[in-house]
Parts: sequence; C-alpha cells; structure tokens
Amino acid sequence: MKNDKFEDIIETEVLIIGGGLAGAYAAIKAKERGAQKVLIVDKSYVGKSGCSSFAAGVFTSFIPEEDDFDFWFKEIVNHGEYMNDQEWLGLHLSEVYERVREMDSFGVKFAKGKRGEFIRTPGRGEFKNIKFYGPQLMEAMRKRCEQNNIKLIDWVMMTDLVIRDGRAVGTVGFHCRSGDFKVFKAKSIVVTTGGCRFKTNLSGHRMTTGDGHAMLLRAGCEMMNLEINQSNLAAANFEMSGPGMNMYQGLGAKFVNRKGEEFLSYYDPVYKERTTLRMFSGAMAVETALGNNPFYIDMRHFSSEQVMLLKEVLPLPTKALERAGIIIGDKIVKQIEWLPIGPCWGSYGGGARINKNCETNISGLFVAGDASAKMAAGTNEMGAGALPNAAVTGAIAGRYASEYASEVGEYQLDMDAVGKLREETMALFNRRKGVDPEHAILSIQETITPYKVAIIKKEDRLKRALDQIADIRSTVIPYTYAVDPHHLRLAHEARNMALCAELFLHAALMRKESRGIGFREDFPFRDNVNWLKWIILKMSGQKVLSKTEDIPVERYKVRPESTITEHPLSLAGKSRGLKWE
Amino acid sequence: MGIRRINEALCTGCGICVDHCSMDVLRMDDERNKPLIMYLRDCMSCFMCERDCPVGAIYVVPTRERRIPLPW
Repeated sequence: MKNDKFEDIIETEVLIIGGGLAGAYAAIKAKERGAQKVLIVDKSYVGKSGCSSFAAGVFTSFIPEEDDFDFWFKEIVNHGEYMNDQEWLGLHLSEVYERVREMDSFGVKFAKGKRGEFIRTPGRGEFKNIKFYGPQLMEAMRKRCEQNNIKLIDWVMMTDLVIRDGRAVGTVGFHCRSGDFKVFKAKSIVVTTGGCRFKTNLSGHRMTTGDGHAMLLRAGCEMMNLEINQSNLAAANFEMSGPGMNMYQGLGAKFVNRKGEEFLSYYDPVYKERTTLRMFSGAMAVETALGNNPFYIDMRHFSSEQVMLLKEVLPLPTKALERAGIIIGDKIVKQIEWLPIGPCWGSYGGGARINKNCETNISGLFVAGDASAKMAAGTNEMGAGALPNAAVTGAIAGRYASEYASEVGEYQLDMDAVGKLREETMALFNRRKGVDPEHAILSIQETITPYKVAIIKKEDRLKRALDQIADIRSTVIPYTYAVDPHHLRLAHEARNMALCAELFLHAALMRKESRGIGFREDFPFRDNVNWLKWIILKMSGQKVLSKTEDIPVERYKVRPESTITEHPLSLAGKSRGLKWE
Repeated sequence: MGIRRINEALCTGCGICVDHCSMDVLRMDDERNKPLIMYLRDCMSCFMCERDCPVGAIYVVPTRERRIPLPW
C-alpha cells in the first residue's frame, strides 16, 4: 500500500484525545484563547466515556471565602507524603474554585442551599466536598463543547502519536465501529485519556486502559510517579459503577472485617472510617494476611434522608444497589462485601511529567487530567486528585495548546512514519488466527492484582511479576488478533495495559522505601533522607531509561523532617500481631 | 446478566443507548432499527443505557459479565 494515499487526513489546530472532564475543559479553553478549529476525539462517546461520567458525585474544592489556604496546602502535602510538586499545588488551589463556578455557569448542576451557596459535606479526611449529580456533569460539558463549535468525533481510538523532528504533529487510530484507519494532523495535541486502571471492577476503570500513557511512552515522553499506584475499593460480587465510597464514608458508613471488628481504628485512629483509600487498602491487606478477610461495608444505620440523598447524587450505583437487593425503598438492608481492586494510575500516581503549562518534553504535546503525573497530588487523592485536577490542568493545557498552535509555522506529517504505524495498528485485524485479547487482559490482571503485588510489595514478588509481564508482552500481545473492530479496540487496550503494567513494576522496584500505597515489606521505612525523589522514566525503543530527581523541598513552603521513620502500615501490622516476612 | 432486556415494543429505535454505551456493548440492527446486545461480556452494568433511554425500554442487573481477578 502506498504511504502517500491517505485521502482522509483530518486536520485541526488543537487536537484533544479523550472526552472526559480534562478533555472538555481543554477544548473550551483552547477555543476561548483563540483557536478556530478544536477537535475532541474519544474511543467511546465524548461525555459518556472514561471516569468523569462515572465520578461519584463529589468534587473537592478549596473555597477562598470559606477555607484556610495554608491549612489545605499543608494537609494535602502531608497526605501526599511530600511527593507533591508544591508549585503545582499552589497553582491548583488558586484556580480550582474558579473552575467550579465556571462549570456552574456551563450548566453543571451542583447541590446548593437556599442562598445559592454550594452545600458542602464531609468526605475523606478534613476536606469538605461539593456535590454534583453524577453523569449530568459530563452531559453539561458535552453540551457546552457543542455550543462552542468544538468538533467532536466519537468512537475513534487513537493508537499512536506522530512525532516529527521532536514535535508532535499528528496521531493515528482506527474507528471502533467501522474498523477504518484514521490519520489526524494538528498544530498542537492535548492528551486527556485518563489513567491506567487495568479494566478492574469499577465502571470508569473498565475503559481507562492507559491508552494515552502507552502512546506517550512509545513517543518518548517523560513519565513520572509510575511507582505510585492507587487502589480503589469496590463491591466484591456485583457491578456497582463508580461506587461513591467517598460519599458513604462522609455519611458514616462502617467497615468491618470477618470478625465484625471495626478494624480501621487500629490503622488510622484519627479518621477511622473516613481514612484515605490508601490506608483502606493497606489495612485490608494486613488484615487479610492475618486471616481476617473478607470485609464488609455496613450502611444499614443510614436514615431515609441519607438514602434519598444517595439516590439523588449517585443515581447509577444506587440503582445497582437496588437491583442487588441492598437498598429496599429508603432503607439499606444488607452489608456489602468490599475490597480493594487492582492497582491503577488514577487520581494520583503515574502519568506524563508536565510543566506549569501542561507541556511535556515533546514540543507541541500537552497532557492534562489523569494522564498526567498529577503533579499536585503526591501519593494521595485527597484535595487535588481526579476531577479537580482534570478541570484545572485541562483548562491550563487548553490555553497553552491554543497559544502554541497560533505561534507555530508550517508543519507536515511524516507519511513514512504514518505508514508504519498503520501496519502496526491494523496488523492484528488482518490475522485469521491469534490469541483472544481477553486472555491477554486476564493474564495482565492476574499478575498485578494480587495484594502481595499491588499493596504489600517485596522485591522478589515484584521481579516475578515483572518477568510475567515481560513474557506476556513477548509471547501473547504480538499474537493477539481481532475478529472485528470491537475486538481491535480490546486488543489495543490489552497491548497498552501490558506496557503500563511493565513500567509500573519497573518503577516500583526502583523505590527502595515505603511511601504511599507502595508499601515495601523489605523496606518498611519512609526514608526522607534518601528518597525525597521523583522517579522519571521514559522509553527509547524497547529500552526503559530511568533517572531520579531530588524534590526541591528547600524551595517549598511545607518541608518534611529529614528522618527515616517506620511506615504506619508496618507499625499497625505489628500491633495487630502480624509477623512480616 | 448485565443489560438484560430491551423491550422492543417500547423501543423507538432512537439509538441513544447505542451512542451512550461507552463499552460498545450495543450496536444498531440497521434492518430492524433496534439495538442489539452484541458484546455482553463487556457490559459493566453501569446503568447508563437504562438511565438514558427516553422510553424506559431497558432493564439492567448488576451481575458481573467478565471474570475479574480479585486481590485475595
């Protein structure tokens, strides 16, 4: 096939990959800043795709008139274990409320009091949350994009960036329904594809398969925080979309182990049931090592007003609870088995390293939302994770991508590169026999999901997992095939997840201390002397290049003590009678 | 069972469910102008199709359609 025969190259000024909150925001701001042609492309449907549409009704925003800036700042850094880029955090806190008010003006519905003020209720930790009505948020954002003449292309999955002379000039992908190969040419590109959540059992997680991460890695983009994984929790035995755990915690849900003990007070005596996801997963892992699993969430004591509030703010998960016989009328009648799901780069943890303009090390390439390294968040979702981060970074990326597009001159796609990428993207579609993508997906999940890989880590186990992933990448992924365009998407998702899993394990092995959910049984100390460092990885061909960079704490407002202290999970485990291996 | 039933007597063939299913479970049967449950294994029981169906023709149950490894 001739490389110069791509009649249907789609041209735009600013190209945004991913139609969640970060993508919609980037598009709106790019347009506001003067770009004429702005395009969002999504592998599903803009406004129904990814984690944003399944976000669980709470939005954490600092409100200048009500909150103490210094307190929020310090609290987020403490929870982020000093891994936060504090300059980014300052930027985040100064812009986040502006985004909330703006979304309000776009038609996003928030829970409001009589005077029109945002109603705030407690959630995790000290922060109060603003509430919104689940999927309505992204519906309003899509509508706003349409009103602003932003072009939307649904059902095209991007597979790779086209880089020419160190500059991002386009992308390639395929249509998930027709199977047609697609080529895009742009002056600047914003990647907002979400995290890599490995198709675990939450709705948003089922489709955020690190597509952006993988395409950025293959393009040589610098990535950061890849060793920091999040671990969400969900119902063990049925589907519950974005479960709304933060809401349940805020309303006073109890969590018990097999013996009926409210075990979290042993692990976080201050916040107990309102502790962080990280501590939840850690505590459940230790309790499991002690034989105290399974665990249950108990909300049977919720008042009918509380249940009605849940139904209003969380329309999708409460429907699941009704159909599963957990909610009957305005009562919650049963406990639910609850557990951490696999590791992920979600509202905090791994992604592209970006500067204050959301630019990467590749010219013309911007990243926002969960696809970025969540620079402000550190090792915790509280305060600066997921949706708030998507809104803030999305807006910044859009502004600067628009400026970049207005300044750059003539540009051309490298058609030889496009031709090669076409081969790579479509090859598995042409095969008549091959490995079921489902097998690839399961193999990856089985390798990284066990709690002794994802939550309680140790060098030998991580190495074993890394070997397994390397094996999957060489003996399974190259032989997957696709019977139709739907399976082509699954096969590419598996390919992207495998690369992300490898980089996650690679980075996890590098950090020889315990921080975040990266609890290392063999290094059970939080080492502020040697490990106040960011790990930065990038790929060169098949090789992973790594470096560490000292976190410039001396420049920062909140400075940690230079000490080596035993990790709280190690201490709690010992006090519960666990003998670490 | 994920998405369990599409009531064809109520369904008007508007195609909203097919657009809004982010997992690409549904496709339109162009001849009959009705949605088909084509890739059930990818249904994650998110309830979006049921919620967004303008005539209430869809019924979803939260049974898991895909085996997903658990941490223990």
